[in-house]
Amino acid sequence: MVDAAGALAALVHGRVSTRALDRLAYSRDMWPLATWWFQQGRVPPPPDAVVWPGSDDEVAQVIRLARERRLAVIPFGAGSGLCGGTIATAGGLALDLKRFDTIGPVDPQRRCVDVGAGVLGETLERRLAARGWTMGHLPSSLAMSTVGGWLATRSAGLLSSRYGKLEDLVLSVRGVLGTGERFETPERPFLGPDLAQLLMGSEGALCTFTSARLRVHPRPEARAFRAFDFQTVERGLAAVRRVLREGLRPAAVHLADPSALAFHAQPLEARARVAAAFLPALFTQVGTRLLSWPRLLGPLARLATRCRLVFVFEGDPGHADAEDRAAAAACLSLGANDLGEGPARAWFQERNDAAFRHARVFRSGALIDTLEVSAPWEHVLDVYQRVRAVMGALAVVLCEFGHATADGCSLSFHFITAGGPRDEVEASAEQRWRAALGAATSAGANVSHHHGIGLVKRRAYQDALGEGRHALAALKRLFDPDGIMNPGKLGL
Amino acid sequence: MTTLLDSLGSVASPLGPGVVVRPRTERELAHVLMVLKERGASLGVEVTLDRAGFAHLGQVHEASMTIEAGAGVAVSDVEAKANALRLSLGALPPAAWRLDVGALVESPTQAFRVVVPGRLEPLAARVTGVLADGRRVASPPGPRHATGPDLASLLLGAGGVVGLVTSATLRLVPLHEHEQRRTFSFSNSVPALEALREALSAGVLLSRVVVRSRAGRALVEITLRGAAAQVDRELQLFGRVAERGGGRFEGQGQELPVDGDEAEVSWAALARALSVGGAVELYRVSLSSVVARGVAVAEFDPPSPLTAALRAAFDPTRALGSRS
Ligand SMILES: Cc1cc2nc3c(=O)[nH]c(=O)nc-3n(C[C@H](O)[C@H](O)[C@H](O)COP(=O)(O)OP(=O)(O)OC[C@H]3O[C@@H](n4cnc5c(N)ncnc54)[C@H](O)[C@@H]3O)c2cc1C
Repeated sequence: MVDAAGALAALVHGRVSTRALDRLAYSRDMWPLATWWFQQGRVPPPPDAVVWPGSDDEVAQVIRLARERRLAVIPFGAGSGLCGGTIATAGGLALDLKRFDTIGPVDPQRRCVDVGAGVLGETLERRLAARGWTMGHLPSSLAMSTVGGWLATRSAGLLSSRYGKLEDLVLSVRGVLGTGERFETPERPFLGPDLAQLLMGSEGALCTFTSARLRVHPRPEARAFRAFDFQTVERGLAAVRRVLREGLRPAAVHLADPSALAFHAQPLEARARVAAAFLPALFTQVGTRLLSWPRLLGPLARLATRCRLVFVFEGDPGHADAEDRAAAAACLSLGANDLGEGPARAWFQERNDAAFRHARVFRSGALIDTLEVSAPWEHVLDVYQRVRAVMGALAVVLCEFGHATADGCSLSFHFITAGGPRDEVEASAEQRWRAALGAATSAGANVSHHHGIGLVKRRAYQDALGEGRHALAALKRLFDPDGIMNPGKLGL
Repeated sequence: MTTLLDSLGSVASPLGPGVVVRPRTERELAHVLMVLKERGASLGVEVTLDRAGFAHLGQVHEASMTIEAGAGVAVSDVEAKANALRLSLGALPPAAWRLDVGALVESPTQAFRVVVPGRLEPLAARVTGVLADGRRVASPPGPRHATGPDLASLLLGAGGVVGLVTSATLRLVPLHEHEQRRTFSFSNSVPALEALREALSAGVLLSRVVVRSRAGRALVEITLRGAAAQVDRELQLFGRVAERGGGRFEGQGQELPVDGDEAEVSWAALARALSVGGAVELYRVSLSSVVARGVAVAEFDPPSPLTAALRAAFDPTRALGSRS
C-alpha cells in the first residue's frame, strides 16, 4: 500500500491520506451495530487510504490504478448509510466524492439541474430554494447525505408519495465503471434498457457516480397539513388507500402504529411535553432493564391500538386546500378523529429529530435497529402482523408506514433492545435481522424500500434474488471484472 | 445432423421456409434461446416467436389495483377483465390497445404511464422474463425497492434486446368515464408548451392533448379523465396555470384527431415540430417525453456503448435478433 499511496498522490494532486485518524473516520457508516462497536471502543476494518479525487478523469485513473494493484475501492458519500455499505471489509481505498460539489444552473424549460455526486442534500435544497425550485427529495438524513449516496442506495425522501423516490427524479447519471471507463447514461427517448435504472442502487459495487441530472419543480406555494387518529392500524391503512384511490396526491403520508406513536409522541402535546422532560432519565434507569423482557412489554404495547395518520398536500394553494378537504372527508367516513393541522405540522417540523431520539436510546446503552421494506397493499397488514409476531419476543417493535403509492407502501420497523455483553449483542442482532427479514419476505415484502442492502441484508437479498443473482453477477463481471468495487456489498 | 426444427423440440413447427416457436413456460423459452445460441440462429430471422402460450390472465388485486397477465395476453383482454371490477389500465396511447402484454411492457414508447407531478412510472409493478442467456429474472415485490440495480430494467421498455418478458403485474386505475375537454389559446406554441409543463409539475394528469399552431397562434385542447371531483379540481388548476402563462379559455374543444404514427419524442422535438406550424396529438404526457402523433421522428441517438456491451454480454450470438 505504501508505494500505491505515492502513485495515488500523483494522480490526485496529493489529496490522499494514510493517517490513522482519517482511516478511522472512514471506517464505518451509521450502521447501528457499527455505532455500538464504536461505543464499545471497537473499530470496524478501516480502509488503507482515503482519496479525494476532483474530476471524472481522476476517478478513472484511481480506479485503473486500483485494478492494477488489486486494491478495493469504496465510494464514500457522507457515511450516513445504515447498512454497513462503506465498511472496508477488504481494506483498500475510501474514495470520497465530496470534491464533486458543483450545482449547475437550473434549466427552467427542461426542469432539471446538473449536480455533483458529493453535494450534500441540504446544500442542494437550499441552493434550489433560493432560485425558486425544489427537488422534493427530503430524506431525514438531508443534512448528512450526498447525491452520490442517494443514487447508490435508491434513497427515498419524506415527500416521495408525490415526487417519487430518488430513481424517479433522475434524468441521467455520469460516473466511472469498475473497469475504469467513464460513462454517461442517455436521456429519454432512447433505445434499449434504461442504464441509469440499472446502475442506481448498485451501492458502489459496479461504479462510482460523479454527477447526475436531476428533475426539479417550482417550489410549492402552499402546504396543507392534517392529522387523524384511527382506532386501529387496519382503519388507518384503509384510509390511506381510499385517499390514493380517489385520485388525491398527498406529498407525504405517514401512519404511526400505537407503539411508534407513543415513542415519537409530539413534544408539542402537553402530555408528551412532560414525558420528553423525564423520559430520557427514566429510560436510562428503567427502560433498558425493561427492554430485556420484550415478552412483557409486547403485550403491554398491544393494549394500545390508536394510530396516527398524517397527510401533507402541497402546490397551488387552491389545489392543496381542495385535496386536503377531500382527504379529510374520506378519513372521516372511515371513523377518523380529525386532529387538525397542529400535530401534522409538528410532525413535519420535527421529522428529522427521530434519529436524535434514537441517539438517546443508544446513549442509555440500548440498541435500536431499523428495518424498512415495502409491499403491495394486499400484503401490507400481513407483513406488519408477522414481523411483530416474530420480533415481539426479541425486541420492542415500533412501525411507521409511509411512502405510499396507489399500489403499496413502505413499513419501517424499529427494534429496540437492551445492550449486553458484546458477543450476545452481536449474535442477537444477527438473529433479529434474520428473523425479521424472514417474516417480512415470507409475508410478501421485499428486503429494502430505501436503505439498501450493504452488509446487513446481503444474505437475505441474494436469497430473494433467486435466479436473478446470475444476472447481477453478469453485470458485476461486465462492469467490474476484477471485483475491486466495494467488495462484499450486495453479497458480491 | 439434427435440424433447427428438431433441436427446438415440441414447441416448434414449420412456418413457410422458417420455424415458429410457441413456448408456454419460461423453461421452454429458455430452451429455445439456448438452441438459438448454439446454432447461431436468431428470432425474427430463422425463427418466429409466438408468445400466445403465455396466456395466463390472473387475479386482479383490488387493494393494490394491479392485475397479473402472461406476455401473450391481449392488452384489450386485460382491460376487459379489469373493467369488470371497475378498474382500468387508464389512458394508454391508441397503439397500445393493439399489443399483447409482452410487447406493451417491452415497448420503449408504451411501457410507462404518467403519475403526478408529470413523472413516468412503469406500467408493470412487477415483471418476470427470461434473459438471452436463458436465465430467469423477476422484479422484487413492493411498489418501490432499494434492492440493488433494477434488474427489471433489462426487460422494461428495453425493446427485447437483452431478454423477453413472460408475465407482468400491471398497474390499474379506477375506471371513470368522466371526461372533460377544454381549449385554451396562446400567443404561440412556446408559452403553450410551457403551460403544459407547468401544469404537469403542478399536478395535472393530461390523458390527451392536441396542440395546433397556426398563424402565430397556438390552440391547446386538453382532455382530463378520472373521478368527477378529481377532474374538476385539475381543470381549475390547469385554468389558473394557463392564465398565468398568458393563455385564454376558448371553450370545450371538439376532439379533432391528428394523423400519423405514434412516437416517443422530447419536448425539444415537439417545439421544433410546432415552430413551423401544424398539429400534434399527445399521449402519455410527462415532463421527460411525450408520445406524439404528427411529429416527424428524428433519428434516435445511436445506442450508448454501455447498451452494446450489455447486449454482447447477455446475447453474444444475437439469439434475440436485431430487435429495436
Ligand atoms: C438519521 C438518518 C436518517 C436517515 N433517513 C433516511 C431517509 O429518510 N431516506 C433514505 O433513503 N435514507 C435515509 N438514511 C440512510 C442514508 O442517509 C441514505 O442511505 C443515503 O442515501 C446515504 O448517503 P451518503 O452520502 O451518506 O452515502 P454513504 O453512507 O457514504 O454510502 C452509502 C452507499 O453508497 C455508496 N456510495 C456513496 N457515494 C457513492 C458514489 N458517488 N458512487 C457510487 N457509490 C456511492 C457507498 O459505497 C455505500 O455503499 C438515513 C440515515 C440516517 C443516519
